[in-house]
Amino acid sequence: MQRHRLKIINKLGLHARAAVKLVNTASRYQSEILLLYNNREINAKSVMNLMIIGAPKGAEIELLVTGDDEVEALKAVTHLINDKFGEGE
Amino acid sequence: MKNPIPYTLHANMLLIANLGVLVLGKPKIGKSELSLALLDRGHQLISDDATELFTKEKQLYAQCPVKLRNYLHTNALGLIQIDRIFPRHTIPHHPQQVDLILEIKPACDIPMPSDPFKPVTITKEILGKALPTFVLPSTTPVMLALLVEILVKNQPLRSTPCNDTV
Repeated sequence: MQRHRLKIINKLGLHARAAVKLVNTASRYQSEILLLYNNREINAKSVMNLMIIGAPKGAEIELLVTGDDEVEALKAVTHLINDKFGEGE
Repeated sequence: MKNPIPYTLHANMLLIANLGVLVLGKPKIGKSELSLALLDRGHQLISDDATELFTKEKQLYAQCPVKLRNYLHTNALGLIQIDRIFPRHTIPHHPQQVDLILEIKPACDIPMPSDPFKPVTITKEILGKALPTFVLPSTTPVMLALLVEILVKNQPLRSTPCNDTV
């Protein structure tokens, strides 16, 4: 199992469009990818889950990745978040 | 006494014959399609995809996150407003006691039952509460007729008057 804490850094936080990009990225991997924030255990492959997370810019989240491709999965999701979901700000 | 702050899990919650049933399973296993079929049979959906859980007086309670109330999502049909498709359905907003758990798994991942006269049962613990858990196979094909009916009913063309796009 891979664990990693990181901050949401894009201006709009984990909003709907960013959430869809996260689902698309996470769904490419076989591993279970969980996002922990604010007493919520969010499955990153499920879009409705992500709609309620409400993580703003600056929110610290924890990723929990379990599976055969957990290293690549964590890397891809971390990269997406650190790249501000490709939003530029 | 105010309810404790809930913990949210990726799960569906249903009321079936007055019993609170929490449905667990990986994404795309069929929890939402199963919920639609149970709604069609007259049972109640408390929450789809995310369920808030808390314990009170040694019981486990479940409720729908406020933002997801009345919504259900499947990849095939997109986002569905439950009251539009099932107008007679009422969603209780107060927390419901969880009486049992269903875990949906691929059929190949389910062990042979030790007693063939009983369903495959394990015990799962959620927030410290142990509950009987029935393990059921994800079935294919889906109930296509039901999905088609819901897809068609979900189209906005029927309910919006003066729709110029028709």
